[in-house]
Amino acid sequence: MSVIEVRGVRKTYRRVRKPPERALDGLDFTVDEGGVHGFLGPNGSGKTTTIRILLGLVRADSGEAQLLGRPVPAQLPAVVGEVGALVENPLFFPTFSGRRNLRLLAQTAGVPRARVEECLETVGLRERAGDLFKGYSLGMKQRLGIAAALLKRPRLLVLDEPSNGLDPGGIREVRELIRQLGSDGRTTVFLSSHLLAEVQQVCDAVSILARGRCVATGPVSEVLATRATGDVRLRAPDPVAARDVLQGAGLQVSSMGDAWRVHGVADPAAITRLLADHGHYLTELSSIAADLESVFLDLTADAR
Amino acid sequence: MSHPLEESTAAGTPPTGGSGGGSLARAELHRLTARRLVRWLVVLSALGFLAVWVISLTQFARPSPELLQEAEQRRAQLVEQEREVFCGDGDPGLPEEEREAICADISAENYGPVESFLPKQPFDAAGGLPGGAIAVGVAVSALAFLVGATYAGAEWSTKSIVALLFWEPRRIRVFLTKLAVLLGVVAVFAALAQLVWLGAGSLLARWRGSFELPDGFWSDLAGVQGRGVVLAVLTAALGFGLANLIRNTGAALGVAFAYFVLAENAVRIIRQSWQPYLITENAVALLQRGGLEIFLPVEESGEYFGGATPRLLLGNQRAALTLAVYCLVVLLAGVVLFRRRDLT
Repeated sequence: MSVIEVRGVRKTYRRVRKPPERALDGLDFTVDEGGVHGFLGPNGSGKTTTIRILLGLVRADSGEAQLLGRPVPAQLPAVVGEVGALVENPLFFPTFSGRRNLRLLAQTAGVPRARVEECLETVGLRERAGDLFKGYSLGMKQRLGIAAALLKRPRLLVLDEPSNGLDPGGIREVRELIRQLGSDGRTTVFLSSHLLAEVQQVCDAVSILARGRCVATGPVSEVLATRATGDVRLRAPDPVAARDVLQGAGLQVSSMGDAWRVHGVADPAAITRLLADHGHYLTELSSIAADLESVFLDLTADAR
Repeated sequence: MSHPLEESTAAGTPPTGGSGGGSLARAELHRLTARRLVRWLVVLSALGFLAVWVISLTQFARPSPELLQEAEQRRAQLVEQEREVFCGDGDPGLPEEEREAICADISAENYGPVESFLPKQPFDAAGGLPGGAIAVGVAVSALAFLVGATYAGAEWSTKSIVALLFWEPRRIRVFLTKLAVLLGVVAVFAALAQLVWLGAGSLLARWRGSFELPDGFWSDLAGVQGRGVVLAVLTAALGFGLANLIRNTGAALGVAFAYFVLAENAVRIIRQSWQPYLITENAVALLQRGGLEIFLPVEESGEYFGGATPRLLLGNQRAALTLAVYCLVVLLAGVVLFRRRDLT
């Protein structure tokens, strides 16, 4: 079952005295239930607009969007109780304490007060929960936003740049939280982030946006496979002689630290044979997989 | 962060989609009454009221028979002095008929009640209580406008309205709940303020004046006070609607300032025939017993040469209706925009 389904969604912002800005241009993607789904794209690619459309804050010009199997915004009220969201900067009353802000939200939806304390504990804010929101650091504000998103025990948790403003320790804690939520068997985390390494570490699947369209979507391994490099990394006892043999055979070789990188190798076994025929026996031969960053940069090159 | 998995996945029923209107209303009530500005305004209003009341205690006094006698003498002296000036031979050039007419007007009754010749006047409940109720109504209405405008404006400036819509996406419901809570709170506060004035004014009359009341006084006073509450509710709605429309407290207050200080005065000078549609005129007409008589410009009345005084009576009901229509227009415009707006 899919928790998010977006089909042909278009959105253009019309602004006074400025040219119209097309944010989404026929966006299609699906997020399956369970796990963590990364949502990537360069600035202005339409990530936040997509999230706002899903949450009923922005109206699409055309297309269809569904949350937890219900069309939105028409049936958003029916599912909003199972959707937690943190969109960009957390939005709270600056002159209320963190706890009071959460209690107000909890009261709105009939969430018991005890849940507020649980969520504050979860994000490590319980001791500072009595402080005014305006006195919080950016990281604390972000944590409070995550706590608010967790209040409803959501089936779908939408997090837009949750690591914004967090220190490295905080980023790691949020990453752990996301990983554990995604693996609890109940919650699906939809994570929009610029931190590609983070996404690769915690996400089971990704969707990559560029210019308002989805340019790749699916399990991380499949998306990476679409951009397989065919490069291999090798080591040999006599590296210089081995390199000469490879270059003599017409292969492109570059340095990779204390090893060589051979580009565009269709059949790695042929390299083993070639070097063995010349008396070189490899100590290492491994394929170099594409990482998410290189795939992202490749897919979104035109949009940046 | 500690034990995230255990805590975030603890057993529990997720809230159902949306929220009950009662929960939202309770949350909004909490949100409104917990605002520091609202609390400060309430405290400052109470202190201001107390200060005015204490000062009033020092400014009014119930006269003793001796003081009344002295006042009577002062009035008689004044009448005598005036008679000497105008009825004697002070101005021989004055025609006799005119002199007689002036002299006929110089009497103790025409120089006002004897109380006005006292060093400190008594507080007259018959006139003072309705007058105070109008003043309280005006002051509470100004506060209500401020509270209404900041209540809506703060939601937009902090964008906490967006966070709220993650929880209750039915925008009309959110809007109407906020409005209902605001108007309810303002109505209760305005009614309390009128009750407090009734008590404080009555004490003032008993301690520092007279409590002689004409027939029908209490029903008239209740009418004035009730209309004061209505005016406060209407101005709160106007402030809320305006700030919701403009999405900024400061801008809403700026628009209000420009309207009351510039636009209304400009209308009074340039287009006097539009006066019956001005908010201030209608507010006064709503509060005052019997409404407000507006004098129209002679060239626009068409009755100048007929000798009739060009005037228009703005009654209580008409004024209430006019103000209600203004509120409704502003609120409806706000609802339509709020429903359609992209919240980015």
